[in-house]
Amino acid sequence: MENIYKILIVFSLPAAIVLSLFIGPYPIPPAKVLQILFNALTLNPQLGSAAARIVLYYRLPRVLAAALIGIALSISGASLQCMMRNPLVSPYILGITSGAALGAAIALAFLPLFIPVELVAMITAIVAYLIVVAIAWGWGRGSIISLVLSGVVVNALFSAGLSLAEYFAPTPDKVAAIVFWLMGDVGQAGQWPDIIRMTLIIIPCSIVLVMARWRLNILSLGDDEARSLGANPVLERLFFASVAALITASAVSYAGIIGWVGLLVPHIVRLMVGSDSRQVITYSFFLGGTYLVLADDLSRAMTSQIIPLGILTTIMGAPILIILLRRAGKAWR
Amino acid sequence: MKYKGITKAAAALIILIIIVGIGSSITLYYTYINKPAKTAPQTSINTVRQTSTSTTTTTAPHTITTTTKTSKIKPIIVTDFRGKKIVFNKPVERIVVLESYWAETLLAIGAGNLIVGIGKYVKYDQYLPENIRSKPSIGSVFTGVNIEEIAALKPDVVIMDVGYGKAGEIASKIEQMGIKVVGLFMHGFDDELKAIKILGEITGHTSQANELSEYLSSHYHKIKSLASSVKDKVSAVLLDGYSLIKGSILLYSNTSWGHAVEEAGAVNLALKNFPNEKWPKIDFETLASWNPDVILVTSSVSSINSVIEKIRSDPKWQALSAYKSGRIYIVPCWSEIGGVLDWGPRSIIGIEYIASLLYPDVFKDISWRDDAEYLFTHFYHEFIPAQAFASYSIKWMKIVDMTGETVELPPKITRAVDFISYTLVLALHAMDKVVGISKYAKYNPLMLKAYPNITKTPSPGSSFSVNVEDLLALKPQVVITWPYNEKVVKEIEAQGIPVIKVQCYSFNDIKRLIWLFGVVFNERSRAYQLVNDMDKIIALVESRVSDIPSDKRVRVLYLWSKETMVQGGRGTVNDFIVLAGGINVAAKDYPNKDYVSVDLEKIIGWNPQVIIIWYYARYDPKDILDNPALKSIDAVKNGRVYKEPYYEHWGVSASIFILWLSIKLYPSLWSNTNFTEIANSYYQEWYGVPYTSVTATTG
Amino acid sequence: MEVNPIIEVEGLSFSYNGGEKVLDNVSFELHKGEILGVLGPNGAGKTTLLKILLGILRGTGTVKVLGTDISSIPPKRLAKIIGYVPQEHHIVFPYKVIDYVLMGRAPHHGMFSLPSRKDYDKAYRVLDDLGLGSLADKAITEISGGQFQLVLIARTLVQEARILLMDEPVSHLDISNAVKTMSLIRKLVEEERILGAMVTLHDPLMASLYCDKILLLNKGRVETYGSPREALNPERLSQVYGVDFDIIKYNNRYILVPII
Repeated sequence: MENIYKILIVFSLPAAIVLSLFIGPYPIPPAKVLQILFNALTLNPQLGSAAARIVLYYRLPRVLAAALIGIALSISGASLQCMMRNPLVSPYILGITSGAALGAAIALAFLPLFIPVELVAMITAIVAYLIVVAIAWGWGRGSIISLVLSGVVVNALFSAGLSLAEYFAPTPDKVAAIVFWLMGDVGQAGQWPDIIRMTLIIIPCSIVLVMARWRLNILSLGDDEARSLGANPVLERLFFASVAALITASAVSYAGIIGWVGLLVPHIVRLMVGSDSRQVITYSFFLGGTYLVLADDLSRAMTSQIIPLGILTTIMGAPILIILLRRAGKAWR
Repeated sequence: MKYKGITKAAAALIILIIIVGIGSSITLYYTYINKPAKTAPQTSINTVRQTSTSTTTTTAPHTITTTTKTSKIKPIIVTDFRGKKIVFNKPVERIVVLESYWAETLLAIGAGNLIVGIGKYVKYDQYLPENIRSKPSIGSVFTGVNIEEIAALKPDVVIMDVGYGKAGEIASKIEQMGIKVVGLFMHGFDDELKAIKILGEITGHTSQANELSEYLSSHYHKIKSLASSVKDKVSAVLLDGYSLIKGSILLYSNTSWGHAVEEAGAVNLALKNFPNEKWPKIDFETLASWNPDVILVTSSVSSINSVIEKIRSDPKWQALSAYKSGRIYIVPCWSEIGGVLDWGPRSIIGIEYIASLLYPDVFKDISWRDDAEYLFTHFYHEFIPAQAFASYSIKWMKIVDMTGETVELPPKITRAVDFISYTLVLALHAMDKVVGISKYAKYNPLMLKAYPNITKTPSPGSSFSVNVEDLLALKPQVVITWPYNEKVVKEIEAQGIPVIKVQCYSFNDIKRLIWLFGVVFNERSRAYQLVNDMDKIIALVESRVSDIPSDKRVRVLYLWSKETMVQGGRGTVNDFIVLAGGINVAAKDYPNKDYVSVDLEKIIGWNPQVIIIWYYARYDPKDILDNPALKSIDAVKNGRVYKEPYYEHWGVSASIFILWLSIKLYPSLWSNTNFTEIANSYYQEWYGVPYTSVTATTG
Repeated sequence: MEVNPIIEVEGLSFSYNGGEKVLDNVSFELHKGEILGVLGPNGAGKTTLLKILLGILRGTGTVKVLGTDISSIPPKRLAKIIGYVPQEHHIVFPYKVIDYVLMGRAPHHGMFSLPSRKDYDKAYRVLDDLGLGSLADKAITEISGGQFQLVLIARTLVQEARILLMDEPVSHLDISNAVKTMSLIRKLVEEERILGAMVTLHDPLMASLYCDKILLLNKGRVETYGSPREALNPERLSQVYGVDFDIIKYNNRYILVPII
C-alpha cells in the first residue's frame, strides 16, 4: 500500500502540472496546449497566437509558482515539525509570516511602487527570523521551547507593527492592498523572473533538507537522545531551521500567506507512507507541489472569480486529513 | 503510556484547529472580500466609493421638504442617504466633513469656508485649497474618528459616507453627542446630484447648488445621449491598476465606477458577468476569454507610469486583442491633480474622459480637459488648467500644449529637446530628461549658474532655426519650442517628432506651462508645489496692494529692446504690472499688443511714474534719465527708472519679478520686507542657487 | 586495547549556573564486565550524573571514559562508546520499530547520509537476537512498555556502543518485564557484547539482584560505593530512604528487602 502511495505521490506532481495546463477559462484544446509546449521546448515558441501567450506566460508560470510554493511550504513544514518535535508546527512559527507581512505592508503602504514588495517582505521575514533566533539563543540556548516561545513573541510584535502600518497607511486603497496581500495569491508571483528567483532559493534549500532527511529523524528524538547518538542538536536544528526559514520566506514574500499547506501536507504524507522523516520530507516535496497546484486549479476553475487560495487550501485539506486520520487512526491512538 | 495520550491530544487538536480555521477563513472571506463594505474597515477608497448597501439603494431618500412659509424661522428638513430625516433650524455654519469628495462638493457650492474639521484623508486632496486641507483632522470611517475632537469643533453637522465600514456605528456615536449627521453615498452619478441638493439646502447655498447641479447634469445628459446614438457598443472592463501592479486583477462591477463605464457608452463585461458583485477578482485567463475591445485601468496619477510599465513588461498581456489594437487605456483617478475619476463633482470629468477614449469620433466635440478647467475655475475657484490633464493609453499620452493643440507623446518622456523655458525644466528637476537644448541656453546666466552641465548638453539649434540632422541624432521623443517660427515647427514635425508649442500671454499661462511641463516630464508633484509657491508670493503681494485705490495706483511703463518699444495690454509683463499693484500706462491704448513701437510723445503723454527696462535691453536707466525729451515725466523727475534684473518671464522667477516690481512701485509698503531673503530662499528651493548669485544687480 | 576501569570518575562536582551543588565530589569506577547500579532517592543527582557521562553537561573533576578525558572526546566518537537508554520517552511521531532502531546507526554516518543495506541488516539481526523480529514493522506507539524498553536497548546495540547508560530502565515496568530487561543487560555483559553498564535504579532490591557494584547517592554525595554486600548496608539505606531494610542471602547474593 505504502509503495503504491509513494508512486502515486511522485507522479502526481508532474501529472498535476501538465493537467493544470489544460484547465482555464480561455478555451484551448489540450492538443493545442501540448503543441504550444512542444514548440516552446524546441525554442520555436510562436508567440503570435493568444493561446501561446496564455499558456507560456500565464498558465505555465502560474502553475509552476503554485508548485514551488507548495513545495516550499510543505517541505519546510515537514522539517520544522521534525526538528521541533511537534506535529502542530507550521512553517509560520518562526516569525517569518508576520515578518513578511509587516514588510509587505510597509512596502504597500509607504514605499514607492518601483520597490518590489517581495524584496522588502523577504528582508523583514529574515530579520524577524533572526530576532527569533537571537532571543531563543540568549534566553534558552536555542532549545525548542525557547525557539517556539520567541517565535510567538516576535509574531505578536510584528503583528502589532502590521496593525500600525495599516493604521498609518496614507490612503485606504493601500490598506485594502495589504488585506489582499495577507490572503495569499500565487498569481502575485506569476511571471517568469519571479519563478526563476523563487526556484533559485527554494530548490537548492529543499535539496539540503531532503539530503538531511534522516538526520531530522535523529533530531526528533529530543536533545539528550540526539546528543547520545552523536548529533549536536542545537546547532543542527538552528541550521535546518534557517534553511526552512529561507524557503518559507521566499514563498511567503512572493505569494502572501497561504495557510495550512505546511501543516497539512506533512501529516497527509505521514498517514500515507509513515512517519519516518526520510519518507515525510521526500514525499512532502512532491505532494506539497501537487496539493497547491490542484488548490490553485480549483481557485481558477470553480468560478471565473478568484477565490483566495489560502481559504481553498484549508477547505480542501481539512477533509482529506480527517479521512486519513480515521483510516490510519490506530497508529495515532 | 505517556506518549499515547499526547498523540491523541495532538490529533484532536489538529481537527479542532482545522474546524476553527475553516470557520474563520470563511468568516474572513465574507468579511473582507465578498462584502467588504459592510464590515471591513480596511476597504479602499476605490472600493468604498463604489459600494452601496441594500439600505441605501432601496430607500429613495434625498427629497427635500421645507415647511410652510408662515413660520418665522423656516426649519430645513432633509432626508439623507440612510433614509433618515434631519431637521435644521437654520442653515449650518460649521461643518465637519469626513471625505474629500464631499468637501469638494461643498467647495463647489461655495460652502468651503464653512468647513471646520476634516477626515484623515481629506488633506491629501490636491483639488482642495490649502485652507480646507489644513483644517483639524479627526479620523476616518476606516480607522475610526475621535468623537471628542469632533465635539470640540462644535459643528452644526457632520457630513460623512454611510453604508460601509464602521460608518453606521460612527454616525450613531456622533449623534449621541447631540451632533447632527448627514450621511451620503454614491452608487451612480445621480447620487452626486442628490448630494449637491442636500448640501445646498443645509448650507443655504441653494442657488449655487442648483447652478452646479445643472452644469453637471447637462454634461451628463449630453454624454448619455451621444452614447445612446452608438449602435455597435464596444465591450470594456475597468481594472484596478494598483492591484494590477501587485499581480492580481480586480474589476469594477456593480459600483459607481463600474456604472460609469456603461454611462460612457460601453458594455461593462464585469457587470454582465457579475451583476451583483462589486469588485470581482478574476483570473487573467478569464479576462482573455472575455477578450474585451477596450481595457480601462484605474491608476492614481503618480502610479500611471508603473501601471503602463507593468502591462507592457508582462508578455501575457500581448495575448489580448485590446493590447494589439492599442486600446488599453489608463484612467487617472483619486485626488491628485490630473485625477479625473472620483466621487464628487469631478465624477463627470471621469465619465467624459472614458467616453472620449471609447468613441473618439462620437465625442470629438467634448473636451473633457476644458470642462475640467471650467469646473475648477468656475465652481472650485481654483485655477487648475487643461494642461494639468493628460489622457493615457499604454502606448501614448495625450496633452494639450500652450496653443490648445492636442499632442500625442510616448507615455514616458526620457529624451526631450527643449528650445524654450529650460529654466522651468531645471526647476522641475527634469534636466536629466533633456538630451538637447537651445543654443541660447548656454548663455543664460541662470542656467550657467544653476546647471553648469548646460555647456555640455548638445544643441541642435533654437526656436529660430534647427539643424535637422543634429536633432535626429539625438533621437528625441519630443521637441519643445515656440509656435512663432512655423518653419521650425514644420521641419521637426516632418520628421515624425511631436512638437509641443509654448507661448504665454498671462500669468495664468505661466501656471499652464508649469503644469504642462510637470505632466510631460512626469514631475507633477513638483509642478503642484511650484504653482502653490508662486501663488503664495502673489498672495503676499496681493495682501499689501489690494487696499490701494485705483487713483493711487502707480502708473508704470515697461520698455523692451528700444526706448520706444513698450509693453501693451497683452502678455505676461502686463499681468505682472497689474499683479504688482501698478497700472500699465500703455495698456489702454494698445490692449491687444504684447509690445509695440510708439512715438516718444506718446510716452510723454502717458507720464508714467515708474519706468522699467527689459534686462536684455542695450540701454540703461541713465539713457532715459538723461534724455532731454523725457525730463518732464514723473519717472524721470523722481529718478524712478529701473532696469529689470535678470528674470525668466515664462518661468519660476515670474513671481519674484512681481514682488520686485511691487517693491519698486510701493517702497513704503514694503519697507519691513527683506526682499533678498525671500528671493534667495525661493531661488534656492527652485534653482538650487541663491537669487543673489544669479542676479548681481538686485535693483 | 584493554582499558580498565572503563569509566573513571573522580572528585566530580556539578551545579546548575552556580547554584546548589547537584553533585558533590563524586568518585567511582566502572570496570569491565560489571553492572554498576546507581541508587538514590529522587533528586539525588542520578540523572545529572548520566548527563555528564553523555557529554551533555560538564562538571568539575575528572571523568574518563576508556581512559580518555570525556571533554576531549568529540560527540560522535563518544556516541560510539556510550549508548544511552533514556527514562522518559515523548514519542512525537509513530516511527516503525525498525526505523527507530536504525537510528542507532547515526554516529556512524554524516549529516547528509542515509542508512545502508548493511545498517538494515545489522538492525534486523539485533531485533531478531532480542526476540523482537516480529515487531519490526509495527509503530513504536503500538508496542508495550516492556517491548519498547527492549527496543531502546536494541538501538544501543545497533549503535555498537561499548558501555550502556540506562536511566531508570525498569521503574515503570511490571516485574516480569523488569526482570526480562535486567536479565538481558546481565546477559549482554556476560557475553561481552558490551563492556559494562551503568544503570540508575529506584529499587534497592533490583540493584542487589543484578548489580556488581552499587553507587548510593544522596543529595549529590556518595553515600556508599562498593559491592552490594559492602554498599547496601541496611543502616545507611535506612538513613537515605527513611525505611528499614533487612538483608538476606539468596542464591549467593545478598538481597535487600524492606522491613514491613
